[in-house]
Amino acid sequence: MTRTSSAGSGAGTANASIAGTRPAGTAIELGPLAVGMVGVMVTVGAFIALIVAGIAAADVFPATSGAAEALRDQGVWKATQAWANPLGIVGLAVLFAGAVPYALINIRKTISYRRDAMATGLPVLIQKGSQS
Amino acid sequence: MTTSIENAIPYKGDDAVQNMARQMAWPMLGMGVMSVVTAFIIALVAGNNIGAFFSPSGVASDLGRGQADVQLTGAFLFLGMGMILASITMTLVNIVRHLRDGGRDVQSALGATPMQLKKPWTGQATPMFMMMGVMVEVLAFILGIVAAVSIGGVSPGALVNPASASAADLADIGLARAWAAWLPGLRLVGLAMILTAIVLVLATIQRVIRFQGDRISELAG
Repeated sequence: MTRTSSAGSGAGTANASIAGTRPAGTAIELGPLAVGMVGVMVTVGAFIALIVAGIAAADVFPATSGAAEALRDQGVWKATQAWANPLGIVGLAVLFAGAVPYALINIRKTISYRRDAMATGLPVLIQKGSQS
Repeated sequence: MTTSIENAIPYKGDDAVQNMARQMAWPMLGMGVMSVVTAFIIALVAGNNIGAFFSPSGVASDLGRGQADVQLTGAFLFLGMGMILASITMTLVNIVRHLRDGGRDVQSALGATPMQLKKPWTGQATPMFMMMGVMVEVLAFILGIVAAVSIGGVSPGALVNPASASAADLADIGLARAWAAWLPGLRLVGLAMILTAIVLVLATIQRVIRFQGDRISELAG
């Protein structure tokens, strides 16, 4: 409401009626980015886990310690790879299925606001043009 | 004519980043598609080699070639995906440019001074995230080539039976196996960065559309 009144100074009742549809505020803008950051963090977490898996794999070739140690390294390597790769994909899915649709919904709401602004403002502008 | 809209500035043309987006969006898409197609062809060759190894007439060298090809497949595939997503980012930046230029034309037609939205922080951060993501994908591509060369240099017998491998072969196998463990994670991080750039440019599009509504209201007021 505050932004609209500053945008259309002296706009009158016509502009006041579209103020309610104006998507404003930091929450609606930062929402998709916050969801996106969650996705990036999940992917980075999976990457860190995979580095641990890589270190364990490097210890297996050649196995510098005993057989039990080599078996444990192999277990860490295979087990971490088994869950960390899908976790990385989950992070991407959060971006694809969360952040991007969220941002697109915000755009749709903003297009509705612009439609209202045009529906209210264009007749006034056309009338001004015909009078001058 | 002045404006009371927050962050409105007089119209100005493309900056360096927008010029790059205008020129590079389609070439980047083409390169990305070619890279993905190359990856698919290499994957077919890898499948053929590994299948040949397990056939009755299979030889150990088939396995070596197959494993090297698998590394190459991942390298080309994710480089291509990164380029395609970067191309989508640039196309969205071009949509922002067209929205801005369309707004200029409408304002000029109404006899008003063309104004545009000052580049918001989401627009400033978009190229940074996109370039970081592409660089991560290029780095992962180079490391993937190194891993492929490394596993390709191992003597075929050592791949089939690592217990009989020399120290040098074991080191090469270890490098390839270790890198194959974390390289996919690095590639996903690169893609996540480019996707974040896409979310940022979508947020910029939302701000630009809202600015247009504000400007229409102001001109009518």
